[in-house]
Formats: sequence, C-alpha cells, structure tokens
Amino acid sequence: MSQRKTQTAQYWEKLFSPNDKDIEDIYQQILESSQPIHIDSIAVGLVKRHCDAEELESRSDLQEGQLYQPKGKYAVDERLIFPALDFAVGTVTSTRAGQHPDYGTFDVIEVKFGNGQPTKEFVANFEHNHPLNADDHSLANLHGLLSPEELYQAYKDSIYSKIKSTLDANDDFVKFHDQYFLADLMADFQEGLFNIADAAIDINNGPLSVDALIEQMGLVGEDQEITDVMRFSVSNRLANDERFDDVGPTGQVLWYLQRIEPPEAHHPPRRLQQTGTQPYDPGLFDDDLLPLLAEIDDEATHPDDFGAIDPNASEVTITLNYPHRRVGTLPLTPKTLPLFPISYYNPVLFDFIDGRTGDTFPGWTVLEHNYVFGLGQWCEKNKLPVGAYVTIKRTKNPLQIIVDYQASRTQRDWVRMASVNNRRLTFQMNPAAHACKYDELMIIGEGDTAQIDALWVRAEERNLSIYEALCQIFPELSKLNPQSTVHAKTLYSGVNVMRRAGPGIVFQELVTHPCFIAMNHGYWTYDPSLRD
Amino acid sequence: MAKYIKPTLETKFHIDFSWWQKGGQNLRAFLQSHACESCQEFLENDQPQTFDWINPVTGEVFQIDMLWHIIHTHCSQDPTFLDKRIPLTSAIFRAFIITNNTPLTAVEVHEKVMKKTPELILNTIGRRQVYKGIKPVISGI
Repeated sequence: MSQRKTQTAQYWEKLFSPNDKDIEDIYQQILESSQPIHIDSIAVGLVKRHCDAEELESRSDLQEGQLYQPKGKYAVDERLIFPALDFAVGTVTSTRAGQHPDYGTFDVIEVKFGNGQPTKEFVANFEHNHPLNADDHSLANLHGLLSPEELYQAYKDSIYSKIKSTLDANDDFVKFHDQYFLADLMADFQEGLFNIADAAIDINNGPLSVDALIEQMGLVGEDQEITDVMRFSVSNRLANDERFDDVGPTGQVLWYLQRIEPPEAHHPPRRLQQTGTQPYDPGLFDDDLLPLLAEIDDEATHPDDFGAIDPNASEVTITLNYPHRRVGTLPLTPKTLPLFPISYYNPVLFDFIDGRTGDTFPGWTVLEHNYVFGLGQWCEKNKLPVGAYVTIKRTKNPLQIIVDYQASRTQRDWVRMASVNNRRLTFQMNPAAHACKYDELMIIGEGDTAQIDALWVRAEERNLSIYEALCQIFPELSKLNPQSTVHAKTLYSGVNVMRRAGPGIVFQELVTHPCFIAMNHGYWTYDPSLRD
Repeated sequence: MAKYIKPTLETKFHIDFSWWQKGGQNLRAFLQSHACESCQEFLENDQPQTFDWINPVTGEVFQIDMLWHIIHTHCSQDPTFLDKRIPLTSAIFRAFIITNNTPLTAVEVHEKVMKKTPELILNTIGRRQVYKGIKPVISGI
C-alpha cells in the first residue's frame, strides 16, 4: 500500500495551505457550535478532513457502500466497506444469528468480496466494545495510521501558523488569544461602554476580570448568566482597543490600562538586550566551564544547559547578575520560570511580597523577553549588590510571589569596584558594607553609574565585540589578584558592565582565543602578546 | 500463493483460524493439550460445540471450537499456564490464547512468555512454514 501523503511531513510542512473549502468548513464548524473555538480544535478538525478526503480519493469505490461497523445492522445485498481490511468492498450475501457464550444476541453476516475470493463472516448488530464501533473514528484512525490529533502534534508548528495566518487575514473571523469566532455572531456594544470599562479599572486601581467588567458595563441583568460568547466579544473588543491590556496568566483574563503599565512590561530594557544573536557551542566547554552555565542565572543560557530542574520546587535561589541588578529584573530561566505566573499572549501582572516586611509591590512576568520586572526599588532599599543571592518562593496564590535575600550581619568587605577612567572601564578593590550573602566571584560594585552608563552607550554605538570587551577588562581584573588569574564568572560579570552577553558567549570567547589561557577550577589568565 | 514477505520485530502475528479450517487441521485436538486438568476431565465426556469467535481488530467471525473460549477464560488464568517449563512453541501459542488472539509482535509475545529472545521467537513464527496457524497479520482480504 502506498503511503498516504497526509501522513508525511512534506504534506503538512510544504504542500498544505488552507483553501477556500477549508475556510468554509471552519466557518461551518464555528457556526454549528455557536461558540468560540480554540485554534487547536479547528486544526485537528481540518487535519481530519484532509485525511478522510485522501482516503476517499484513494478508493473511489468507497463511495459505493457504507462503512462497516460491528454495531451496524445489515441486509442481504447491502454493500459494505471494511476499514480494517484495507477498505475492501463486499456485498452481504446472508445473515444468521451469532453464538457466543458472553455476548447474547447478535448477528453474523456473510460477505462476498468478488474476484473469486472466499466469503468471509463478520459480526453485526453487535453493541459490545469493539474498536470499529467508536463513533469518533476517522478513516485514517481505522487504518492504523497516525490519527489527526497525532498528526497535528507532530507538525503543529507548521499547521498552526498556516491556519492562524489564514484566519487572521479573513474578516469573517475574529479572535481573542487563540480562540476564533465569527464576526457576524459577535455581540454589539456602544462605544461609550468602553469608557465605563476604563473608569472601572482606574477606580479599582488594579486589573479587573472580564466578568467584572461585563457587570460594570451593565451588559447583563442581575439574573442573567454571562455567556462565553459575551466574554469573548468583550475581550475581543478590549484587545483591539489600545487603552486596554490583558495582564492575566494563562487561563485567566484580567484587563488593565496600558497608560498605567511600566514600559518595561512591553519593552525590554536596553541593559537586557543581548549583543548579537550568535548561539554558543557548549561542546567547546570543559568540565570547569560547563557547570558554570547553570550556576550563573542568565536567560541567555540555553534551557538544556541548566541541567535537571525540579519544576515543582517551592522556592529557588538565584544569583543576581549585573544587567538584572541594574534594571530591577530577574531572569526567566528553567529554574525560575515554574514559580512565576505566565501567559504566552501577554505580560502578566502579579504581586511580589517582600519576604522580610510582608509589603506587596507589583511585578511583571514578561515571557516574550524572559524576564520579570519590578524589583528595582526593592534592590535599592535592601542595598543588594550584584552577586546577591535572591530567593523566590511560591505562595498558595499563584499571583503572589515572595521575594527575599539571604541576610547577614552588616560587614565591610573588600569588593571589586567598577569605575570609568579615561573612557575605559577599570576595577579596584574597595571596602563596601553589605548585609546580605553574595557570590564573591560575581560581585561588582559601581562608582559613578552615570559614567558607566555613558561607557555602555559608547560601547554599543561602536558595536564593541565581546572579545574586545574581554581584552579590555581582563588586565583590569587580573591586577586585583596576586596570581593574575580571573575566574570565568568574574569575567562574565565584568563584561556585562559594558556589554550585554550571556555566559555562554563570554566563555566561547575565552576558549576560542589563544590569548586567554585556562588555569584550574574555572580561573583564567591573559597574555596580550597572543592577541589575534 | 501469496508472496512471502520476511517479517520483522514490528510485524504483528495472530492465529489465522482459516489456516486450521483450510488445512483440515484438528484445532480441538490441539487445544486439548492446552486445557488444564479439571477441564480435561470435563471435556472427555463433552460433545464438541462451536461458537462465533470475533476478531478484535477486523470484526471477522470464525466458528471455532468452544474449547478455545474455555481455555481463554478459565485455563489461562492459572499462573502455571505460561510456566517456564513449557516449550517455546507451545508458550507462543498460549500467548495468543491469553490475548484472545489479539495481534502481537514478536517483542510483545516475548513480554508475555518471558522466554528466549524476541529474535528467536520471530525466527520460530516468522518462517515460510506456518506453525499452528500463527501468521503475520495481512491488512487486506
């Protein structure tokens, strides 16, 4: 038997494109349900229709009879198609009563297949469990091929995007998140009602659920139930009104006002934007460097390089790195991601709870750019340095996250301090008082932040390479150590003062240039005479 | 004669009851060797009866000896039914009795009989010469 084209990657990834018939079918699917339908359900239905159409095409004589099912009742001379026998077509020649000690009354039909084939008998009028009795089967399912659901999962990226772009370009359909509905079936609203929604959120001083807004807007009477169509219609209209943003986590729609959202909820701070988009090759790293990728909590590190993570951990502790400390954010990595409320559609507003005071303040999960915003004032208030250990804890409420640091008795330690001298980044050891535990290899203090920011801008304008940045800061850091060695973590921290780079990119520069010489345990030296 | 296609470890096998019918083989006599002692005694005085066995995949019906049903529902429940001392060929046949002749690969048969290797089981039932009606499942008629 030749392979069905709908069972191949080539069909779904290259040949498939939703046609007018598909759009008509989707239209009918939504019309019949009269409910918004998720794109996954739309896609599975469309894949099923394509698979069934191919089966029917491949056997034109399938049109000539009805599909055999054990539960069916069949008469003599009736033509049947047998899905489990490669869609063979046969004619019922006789029927008799079946006999089985467990199954009570049922029939047995004798079927002639032609071409001199001997007749075969099949069960009929049989209501017991049998795979062919399933009502939701597709022809492909019956044939032992990948089901429409399995095909969709296998080629979801391609199918999803093709259907999405087709529906998005068609004015007959409206959407909210990944739910689609028909524009003609949408509820009508007066424009003024959305001013009421604006005022209601403003007065609430926080986001409101779509149900709360529907009530505030007076769209339903006291005894009326809010329907899914009403929720969809309101959400669709709000999503297309630039005043409003959904800030709820997955599965929860919460409407808020864009004018009172911080810009960082939508636009990543420059300090977090990576220099270049080149991936790194972890295969280049030795046993000293590789574990550091997981130790340094940076969203630029590939998720696979974080090693085993417990997604159900009730708390995690991370090391605050330079870029995040500067802009009051935390990285979203495989380690931190499970603790924060997220949405694949929008930034999510939640409450940070100060682990020491119990005070709450707003936090934003920005999944699109892999960071959590809102810790600037908290870091300042607690005087947390770069390298401080920050602990994130779950609460019973997924929209409330405890943030804390590891307090210690205030003491003055010698820490490396960054400053700008003659337009170059320099470091020196200065005493600084800290009341928290921190990673000594990561800590970096700052003198004049305005000068450092100016240096950052100049480096960005000159598109200073990470290699060049390393060559500039290495002598500055190595002079602080009698052995003239610098740890890879310290180099990562130092580079990020003037250029944004994940640890993988920094390490890759270390291992690929002969001027950087590996010592033991992650320490490196620098020989400027070996520069490229 | 159908073209012989060499089976693999992924090939599903079953007992083809039409093989027993076409060849005039005595299924009842063979099945008796798989019945437990209590059923053996009962069967000695019992008149042969048939029932409509229903293929769990295709819905096809074969009228076969009631002894199959008795062994499947009663004797196969005995923990010694797939005893290690039973020859491999008998154990393979019994694996199909246990599953009521649901198609199985050599690997799945091995998981049931826990003897030898899937490859050896495949060599045993995947040859041109059909052993006790155990044949690869063919999707067409």
